[in-house]
Amino acid sequence: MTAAARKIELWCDSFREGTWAAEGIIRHWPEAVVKRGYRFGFIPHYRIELSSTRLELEVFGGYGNWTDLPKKIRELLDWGKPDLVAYDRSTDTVLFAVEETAAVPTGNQALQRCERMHGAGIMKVPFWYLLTQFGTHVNGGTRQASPWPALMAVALTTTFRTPNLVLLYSSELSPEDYAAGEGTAQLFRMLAKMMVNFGTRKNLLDGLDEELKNQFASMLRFVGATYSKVTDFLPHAELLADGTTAARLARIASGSDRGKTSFPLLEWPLFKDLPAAFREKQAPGTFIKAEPFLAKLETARGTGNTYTLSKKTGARPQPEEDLRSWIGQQRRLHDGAERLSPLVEFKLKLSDFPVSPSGLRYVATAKNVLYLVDSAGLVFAALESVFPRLSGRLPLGNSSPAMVYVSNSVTPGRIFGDPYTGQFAAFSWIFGGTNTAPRVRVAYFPHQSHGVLNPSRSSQNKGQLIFLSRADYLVFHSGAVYSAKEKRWL
Amino acid sequence: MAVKPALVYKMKEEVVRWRFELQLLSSRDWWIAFTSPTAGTWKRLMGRDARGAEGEVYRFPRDEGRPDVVAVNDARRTLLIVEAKDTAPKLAVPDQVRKSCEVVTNLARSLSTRGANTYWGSRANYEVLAGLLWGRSCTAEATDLVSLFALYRRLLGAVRLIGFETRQQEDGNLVVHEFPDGGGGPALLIQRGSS
Repeated sequence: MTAAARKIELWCDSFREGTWAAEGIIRHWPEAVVKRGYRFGFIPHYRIELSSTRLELEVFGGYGNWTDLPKKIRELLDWGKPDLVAYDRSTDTVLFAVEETAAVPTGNQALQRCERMHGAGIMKVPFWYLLTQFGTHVNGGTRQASPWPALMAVALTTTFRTPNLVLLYSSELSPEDYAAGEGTAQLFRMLAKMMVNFGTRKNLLDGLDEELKNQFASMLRFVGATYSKVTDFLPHAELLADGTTAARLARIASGSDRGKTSFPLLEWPLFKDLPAAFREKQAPGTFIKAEPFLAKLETARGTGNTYTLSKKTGARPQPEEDLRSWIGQQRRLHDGAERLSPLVEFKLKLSDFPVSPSGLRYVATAKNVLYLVDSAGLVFAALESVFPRLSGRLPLGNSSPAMVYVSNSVTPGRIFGDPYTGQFAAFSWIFGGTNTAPRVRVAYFPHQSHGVLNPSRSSQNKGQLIFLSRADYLVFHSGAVYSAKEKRWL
Repeated sequence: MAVKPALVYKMKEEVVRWRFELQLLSSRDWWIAFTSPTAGTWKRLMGRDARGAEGEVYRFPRDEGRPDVVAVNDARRTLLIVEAKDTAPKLAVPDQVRKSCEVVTNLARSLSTRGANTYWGSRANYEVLAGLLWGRSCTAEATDLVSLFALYRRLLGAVRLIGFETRQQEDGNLVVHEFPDGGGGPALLIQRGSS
């Protein structure tokens, strides 16, 4: 074989992760002749001779350690730093990206990296999220990963027609063990095959429908087994058990369906089309802290045009002195924020936050953070009635269905950090509509001054970037509303 | 520095530490029990049983300070707990000195109680060395080791101290130098350094 070796740069969060990945991939080429070395004494370099091609891999650890980070990788990093990015400098192409974590996948942990899935999706970069299915909680118990990232992966794959997958490793007997479960092997086998395609100048996903199908099948089995823990209802859930679904998703991901297939898994219906048993459970919920706009949405649950999916929202109270400090910071942000007309009043005060039995203060309002509303017009009418300054400023005639996401955080700007950024990235894809069944997406922050948002500097803050790209409207304390599409305050 | 423009790197802590880890990995007798960050098992310190199988010895609580590298030498019955910064002056900042010494002494104490763990066993009685690791670019001044070590010696008590420098040469290559406190004694890892 005389063709020159094709070179792949493996950019990663750390050298350890890059070499772990390189060695994991190489193990799937048992026949390969591999020469390992280090340039300048520390940059891992691999020369790989396979029967069909020759490859060179080089590992660049720590994105900030290099003066020549490719622009395409920098763009991907704006959405959050994946652990591994494969890059072809000769064509300035990001080949694929990988995120992996050993973090115990309980609560919001699994959602914390979902903005990276989003970034890869919109840049049409094949993306894999390797997650431990089972983890040991600090209390000693074994917990299982949330299915939210996997559901988000389905949405991203079918929207961008590019692979976006969650692969799971470990087992109940061996939690957090990379060698247990299918996921680690599935990941490296796929990356190895893609690299061979790259080396032989084929399309990266050529001939990989079967591999993708197996990965989607694993992912769908997991979703089928776990979704009831996080949501009381999933539309078209029968697709999870349908033997043809995985192949269907694989063809969408690889492009071998030629763009002709749609996939309705996340097309959330209108209230009237919900299963009767689920519909009948919808009723106005109670509040921990009073909140007038959400009270309107809760009332709408009883009048047959709004529903929620789970009552599993936690309500961790906060120390009073922290709350006092945060409210003070919110006021200062408000005073320094862009002056809107009509005026936005600052009304946050400590006494509004109920005292818990242990003397802390609750910040949670309704017991739901996600509402699916039959018509955006209803959401806007509710906003106008609670915040008169919005009168005449919202499209009341908009009959598209809507999604309302709520974060009750009081910590200034926290909404643009973990876990909210990843959570909203995930929820906006899972509940925010599809190409064929779109929804208006509203994010509501009752305890955040509009001063926390700086739209002109969003590229410097990935949280703002996510919210501005995925929400149609951002609603802040006292009814300050930013229209992301119109790029202006209302 | 005569390096290809596309590969110009910065002497940051990750680079400094990684080069040091490669030095450890190239040695016959040293193995790495913990490094931060790692591919995956970032919060677990691992040991080896009699057959060489790996297993968890210690799990760092979320709010506990972690060292940068923990390495073991069974032949010398030595445990090396390393704190790293990209430059030596950063190691000399008073708050850093305090935190680093706390990390070393707390971890040494915790590991000394792990004798019953199958993957640790007699390592609970190993001598503990406190390692300081820093980077030095080819244009940087030599490190004042006397002052640096004096700062740490005050808080480390009887724990022996050793310095490691990942030094950038004119051609861009990185080499690790070793500086035991007080000088002398057999080299732990590689050539003895000269400032």
